[in-house]
Amino acid sequence: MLYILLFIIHSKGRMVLQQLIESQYLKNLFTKSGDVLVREIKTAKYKVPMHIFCVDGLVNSAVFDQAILRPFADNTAVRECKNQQELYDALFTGMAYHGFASKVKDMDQLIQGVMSGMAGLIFDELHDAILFDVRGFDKRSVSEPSDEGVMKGAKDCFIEVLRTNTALIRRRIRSRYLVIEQMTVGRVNRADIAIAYLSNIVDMENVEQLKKAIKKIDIDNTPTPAFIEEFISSNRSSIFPQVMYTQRPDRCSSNLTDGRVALIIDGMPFVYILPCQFPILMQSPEDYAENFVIGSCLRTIRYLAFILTIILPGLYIAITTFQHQMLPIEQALSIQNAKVNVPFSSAVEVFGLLLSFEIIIEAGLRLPKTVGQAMSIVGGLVVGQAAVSANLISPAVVIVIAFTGIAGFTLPNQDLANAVRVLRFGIALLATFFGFFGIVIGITLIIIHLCSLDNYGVAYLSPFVDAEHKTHKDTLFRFPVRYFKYRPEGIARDNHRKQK
Amino acid sequence: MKKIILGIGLLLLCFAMGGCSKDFNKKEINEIDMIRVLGIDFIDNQYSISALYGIGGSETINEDLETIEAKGDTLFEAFEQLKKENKKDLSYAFTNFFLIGQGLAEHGIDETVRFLISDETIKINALMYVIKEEDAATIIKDAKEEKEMIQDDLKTMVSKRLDSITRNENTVLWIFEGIEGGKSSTVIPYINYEDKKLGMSGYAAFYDNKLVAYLDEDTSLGVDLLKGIVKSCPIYLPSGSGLTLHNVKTVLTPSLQSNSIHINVQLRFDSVLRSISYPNQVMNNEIREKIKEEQTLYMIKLLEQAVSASQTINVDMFHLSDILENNTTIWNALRNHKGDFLQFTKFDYTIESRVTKSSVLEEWR
Repeated sequence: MLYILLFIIHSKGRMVLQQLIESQYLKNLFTKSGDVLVREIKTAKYKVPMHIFCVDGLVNSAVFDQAILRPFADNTAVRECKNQQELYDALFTGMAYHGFASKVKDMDQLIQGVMSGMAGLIFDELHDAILFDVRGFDKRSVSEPSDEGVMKGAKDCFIEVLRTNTALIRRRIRSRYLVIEQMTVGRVNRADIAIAYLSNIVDMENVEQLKKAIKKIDIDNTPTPAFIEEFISSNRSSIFPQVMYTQRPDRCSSNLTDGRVALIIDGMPFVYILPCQFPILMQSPEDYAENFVIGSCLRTIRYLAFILTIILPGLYIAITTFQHQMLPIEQALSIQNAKVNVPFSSAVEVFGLLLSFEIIIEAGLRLPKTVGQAMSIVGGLVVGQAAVSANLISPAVVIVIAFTGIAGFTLPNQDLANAVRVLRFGIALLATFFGFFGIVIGITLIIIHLCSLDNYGVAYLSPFVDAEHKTHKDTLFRFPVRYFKYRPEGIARDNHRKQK
Repeated sequence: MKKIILGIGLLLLCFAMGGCSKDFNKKEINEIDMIRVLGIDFIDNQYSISALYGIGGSETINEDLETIEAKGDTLFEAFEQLKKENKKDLSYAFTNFFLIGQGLAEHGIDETVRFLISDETIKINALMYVIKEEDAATIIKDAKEEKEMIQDDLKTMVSKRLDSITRNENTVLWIFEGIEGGKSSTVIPYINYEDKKLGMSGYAAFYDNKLVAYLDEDTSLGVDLLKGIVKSCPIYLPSGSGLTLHNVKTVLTPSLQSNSIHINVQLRFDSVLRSISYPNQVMNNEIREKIKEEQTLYMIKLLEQAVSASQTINVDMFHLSDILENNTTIWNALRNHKGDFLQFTKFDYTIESRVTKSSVLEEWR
């Protein structure tokens, strides 16, 4: 009875009977899986048995053979082991020619490790096993980032393999204070995730809060980033991104030195950065690659584009339907002339074209690359030329929506760009019914919403809403680097200063 | 919960604001005709309104012009008749110019100005002009027949005038404020319409919001100088020299002396010599002093001309009452003469000027 009670572990609200480490159990478990290998091997002299447990395709067979199996033939100390205990001790303490060996606590950890690409050596008599990290599955090479390319700057990016990503970060931050804690998430997929932070800078409350949020994830599988994002976001109902992601190790390391936390997920070729504020979503690596004047100009253009892409369709509706007097007379006459044969109102034109634009974008995402170019020509011709010639829409609307779309593409963060695509419709709808009042109310509501967002204790609009100006040096304008003396407000509570 | 309530409240505010400013009456831009110039006349005891509006745009170099006319016993009736007769809705939001015919100017402009300002779509910085001895409808009809872009002509004239003066004081709002402020006198620029051509000459003087006189060019310049709104203007001295004034500053200082009001007019300016009538065309100190003296006398003459015109027709053209109002002693003394204080006002003039030479007149070496 006591034996049973000792092995009962309370796990996530369910009682689980802890399985002893036995090769027969694994053979039964994986009998139908042809890629899982559970094979007995014995030492040459004393025939001490043990089992190899690994997954074909995930291990590097050459390394495994050379590092793990070869000592059985070459190493005298291994050959002289008389029992499993001696063999276990010998292999763990260095007789295996591999440095990354770890002891296993339980069957769960053994299976988890082997499914991640490690190789296990099982000692049935000891009910114990050693895991060797001989991962060798096919993976993408570190290449140029697809979304965050820069002219001047590093050309490496994160890939789908956790260990490679952590190595990329370590290469950039060679500090003793860089901590990379590992966890798993997903009941079935058991994805590895790592939380990286600088322990002498970060606010540990943020780290604990993040770990707590991750531990709360009780789901079978996390196939897409959105699954995890929803759990770690503070405000799940907001369309604005609460978490920033980046493909660039340099950008990740820069945010770590600011006191933020990076979340690296095995299988995702990017890293999440928390806490996230609105200004960092508007930053691009290009701002720092250029002179501060050019960087500031680019950033100002980006902010302007952000405002324009939200309000331009609504502005057009409001001006042509309610407040005509805002237009210069020549422009008003030109638009009037263009709309003479168009049967639809300005609002219908704008909504119709916005919808077409969204459909073309969605179609472009699904299309194979070979067909994509043809699609873009068709889209441009059909929407731009044919619709105007057929008097379905006026040329002014085409220009407005095209400019709106292009302005939206200047946003560096795709999640923010997607949020803006939704907001455009809202503002246009308000403008349809209420004109300029509607636009103003819409913008007011957006600002109220943004002000109410809070991300791990830091305001979403920080540092715009901060009273102190010392942290405003990297927001709307990019000041010279010598002005970046302080870390962002509220993120690194104790270690504020980053430059003398 | 609070955010939801706030959001609903703001949306309700939209309804309220939109309704109050008639924004629920939305009209597509191609459903309106945009009036460019509006002429208002008073003929045979009836108000007559004529509107010039343009159609066209990108396909035509010049817009096509259309006119429409309507009459009514009151302005409101005339405006409503105009709306009825036109096929589309009319918009006054693009009307930059209001032309007042001779008849209306003589009848009185206060009712017209009050009516115009009550419409919130009308531009408050639209300009008003009086048509000298002609009806506004004539200009508008001729514009359509001759395909003359009078709105562009007027715009050009305004632009040219702003080279000479610092501000236009004949906006609808400015005139309205004068009427509402109890000012019985005002001046509005008038337009000569001769041989189907427009020309701006001077001011039309109004007393009690009715036209009393037309001022010639020199008198109008004198009025501008006294009002202190001259930016740059040419003057031609009797000797033949020509100068351009700039940096003009006018200060009117009132004082009460022996029961009469004395206004000291201090006029300070720089002038650039553009041409001289002397044979050797050389600028030296002697000639400079001569010209300066001549200039001073000429400026005094201009100012006296303006003052004399003002006193003759009893029109406070240069807003002297505003200056006197600020001096309680003087204003109290005018208790019984607020309507004709100009008759008891004496003016003296102090002219400070510098004559500078232009590159044309450098000494030959």
